[in-house]
Amino acid sequence: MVRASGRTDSMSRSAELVFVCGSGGLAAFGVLLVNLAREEIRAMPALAAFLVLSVAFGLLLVAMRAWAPDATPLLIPTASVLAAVGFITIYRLDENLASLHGWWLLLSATMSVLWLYAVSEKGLGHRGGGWWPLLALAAGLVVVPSLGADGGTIWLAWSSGPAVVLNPGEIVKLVMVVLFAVLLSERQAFFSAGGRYTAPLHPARVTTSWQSVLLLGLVVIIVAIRDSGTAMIVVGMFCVMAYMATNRSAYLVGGFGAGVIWLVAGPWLSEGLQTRIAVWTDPWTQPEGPGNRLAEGLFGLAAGSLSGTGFGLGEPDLIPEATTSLAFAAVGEELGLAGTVVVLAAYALMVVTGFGIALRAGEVFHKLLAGGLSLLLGGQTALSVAGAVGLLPGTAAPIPFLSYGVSLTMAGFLILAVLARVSHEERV
Amino acid sequence: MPAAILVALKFIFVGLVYLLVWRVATAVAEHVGAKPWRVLGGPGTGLTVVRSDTQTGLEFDVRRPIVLGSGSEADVRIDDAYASDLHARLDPEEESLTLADLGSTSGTYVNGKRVTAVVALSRGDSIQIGKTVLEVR
Repeated sequence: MVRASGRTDSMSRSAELVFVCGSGGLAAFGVLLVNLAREEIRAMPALAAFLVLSVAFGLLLVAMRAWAPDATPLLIPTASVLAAVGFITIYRLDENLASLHGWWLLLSATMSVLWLYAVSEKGLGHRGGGWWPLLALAAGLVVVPSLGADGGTIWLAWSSGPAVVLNPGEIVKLVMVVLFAVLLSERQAFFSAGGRYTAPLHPARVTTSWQSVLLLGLVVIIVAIRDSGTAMIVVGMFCVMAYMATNRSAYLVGGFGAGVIWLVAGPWLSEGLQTRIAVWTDPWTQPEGPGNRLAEGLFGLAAGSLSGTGFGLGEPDLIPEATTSLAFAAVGEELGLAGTVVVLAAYALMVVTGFGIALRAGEVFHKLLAGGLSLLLGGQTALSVAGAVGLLPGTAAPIPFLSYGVSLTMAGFLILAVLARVSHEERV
Repeated sequence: MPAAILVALKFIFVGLVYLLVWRVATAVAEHVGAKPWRVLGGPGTGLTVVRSDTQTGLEFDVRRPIVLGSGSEADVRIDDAYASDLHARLDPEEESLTLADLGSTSGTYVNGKRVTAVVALSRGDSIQIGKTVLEVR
């Protein structure tokens, strides 16, 4: 029998494993460099970094081999390199935060493993119908703590300490992408039809209604928590995914128009946005005020110059939110243009791989799911980087895999797991 | 620790990151350039024996030209008394799969029609050689 697996990727499963261990080694090397710059030689933190990275991504690899054996082997290596660079940056800024981050990496990997196991029996389904209970549960989990958040804060602190915070926005984005994929694949005709279903009781409208209520509820929550970055990403995601599903460019034009209106009319509606835009247009006049965020990030990037100061030798601790939304500036300070370019290249590779999976997928739901998640990964990174370098008004958007954050790390690993599963089913 | 060594180590670190990302980039480039999984002639193209006295269920991929026949020189042996030694040839091309009869005695049939020239196959087509029936998948 000439039965062959038919794998075309030029990276084998064992190469992938070597790669993941290499990323662990990279993290250990970076941690060692940070300590060397401080005139210390400590083996334990480096060993811990190696173990955390290798075990977290190793777990995901093992789960993929068991429950998604035909998935492309190109996703995990890139993510593991980015996570290694992110881990070193966080360690360099705050050792305690890094040890917490290590736990989140392991926890997130475990969650993705459980998810892969949960879908291993029945698969993703053709139109995503089976996802509704799961989505409703996830939406509920997001809604309940969000309502408890007071004022405009989007961070929910646990009583155990200020470092353990959950930003519901990260999970909301992931849930929204799945929601859009389900909705658009189930109701493709409705979204393509434009004004055809004008009768209020047309079946296509009625059956869509309760799903729309859930969607609307989540949008209200996002507006309520005043997370303009999340709102921008979610609206953008819907427009692009609707375009993917229907090929109607009206969705893209509408999304672009909404963005312009947000930029023009937003400052009148929200004082926070007004400040952000003022800071964006002129970060130098308020170096001690709210402009500090962008200005310090730009100073950091400038100090990094071409090849960076080296780990532990710069002053990224002066950058506010260096572990979250300005992680890119912190990397830029210590690794310079050389480091930021390779980080951006790695994200581009992940997005390209994700879109490759979407293009090859057979089902509309799978296409939209993979395309949407790749877009989320790329869009969020682009938004965060653009905010850090002053191309766009700053948002609180952190970078997946590079920044610190419980739900960010979880969302990142879940995106990997879902993409892996879509990639697996495409070849079965 | 002398500053020069730290600078050297920094460059080694960045170099390692480049190396790892470069390795993925080359693999991704091949992945993107690869033919979609579902395209005939692309990866996953193959045949399944759906009716035969002894070979029902046999599957094989067609990733290079394959000769079917009962002889020992055939790439895939068809265990059928009516099959010629070198009976028919399958050719995977850019985005298609073609079949040619190699002058067999009993003939090759695609969806019941005898093959007289090279024919392009579609997914689901049935190929009959003697009493053996194969299906394109």
